[in-house]
Amino acid sequence: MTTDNITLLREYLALYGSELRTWPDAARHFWAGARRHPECAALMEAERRFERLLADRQLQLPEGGLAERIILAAQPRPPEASWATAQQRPAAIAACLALGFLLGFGVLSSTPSPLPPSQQTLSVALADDMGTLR
Amino acid sequence: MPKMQRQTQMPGKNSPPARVIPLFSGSAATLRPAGEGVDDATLLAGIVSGDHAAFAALVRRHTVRFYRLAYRFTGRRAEAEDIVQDAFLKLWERPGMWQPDKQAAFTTWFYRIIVNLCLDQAKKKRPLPLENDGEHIEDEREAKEEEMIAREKERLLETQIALLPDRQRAALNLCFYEGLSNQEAATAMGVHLKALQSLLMRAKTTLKERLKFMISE
Repeated sequence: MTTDNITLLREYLALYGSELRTWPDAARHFWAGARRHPECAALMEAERRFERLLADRQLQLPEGGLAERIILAAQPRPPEASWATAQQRPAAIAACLALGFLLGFGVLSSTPSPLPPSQQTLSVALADDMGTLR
Repeated sequence: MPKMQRQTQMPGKNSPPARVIPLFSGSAATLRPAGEGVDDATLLAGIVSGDHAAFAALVRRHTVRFYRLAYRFTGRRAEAEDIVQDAFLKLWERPGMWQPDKQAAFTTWFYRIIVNLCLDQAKKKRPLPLENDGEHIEDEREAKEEEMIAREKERLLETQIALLPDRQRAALNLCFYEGLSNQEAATAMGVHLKALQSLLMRAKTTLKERLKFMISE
């Protein structure tokens, strides 16, 4: 067993672990030839001990009802407004534009007063003041 | 080695689009059986159209799996629960995040959401190894010697894993504890396969070195 092969085996073990069924075909083929070498077998055994150690890691389970809390926190969305569906939307926009045009036209075409209301009030006030002074 | 139980895979790019099936019209209790025979793709299509029962079924199906990853990363139950809740609520509020044409499997894609949230959390503060670190020595004196040794081993293991760089820890959690293949883990982390393999190798090499006195026993 060459040093390169040992290095390769170390790499396979690090990448795929000790479960051969998860190894790619090329790696499994390599292992078939390497497994009889004591050094390779020792590496595999060391990997299994390492994985047993990792598997001893404790997992603290979530408090009961985590999923239900998440579901409750996600409020149902209100249904989409039905007055303007994709088909109706252009017609609704056109109607709004037409109404705006008509209203604007009506304002512009109405007869304007000679003076704006504020100026009318000012004129009356000035006339009153002049009368008082006289 | 604990292995993730494989769930129904999402259809890939060549699969037909999922049908939207209303799953319910009733209380949450009646929803449980409804979601059981439905695959993730169908549930996600339901979520996009605002089907709350589809969301409930997806949450019930996957919460523990994603919690496990978050807990392995943060080492804190409350933080892990918050991360899982945030991730699912994001999916509910912005279901457009999920694009079935671009992602291969819901679980792989959602692992990525969880990993990113974990990494964001880790940037804010370093995780502490164990919640039980501050327990009183008197309590331990009362425990049996074997139990104390076992707990000390667990503490050492947790500490050494917590000391790994964040991305190495994520790679280890995904590949070893969740049982993802290297390629799936790379997708979940948003990195190339070679980068994932490098992270994984460095994580395991470091741990083997630091824990060799425990491995050789």
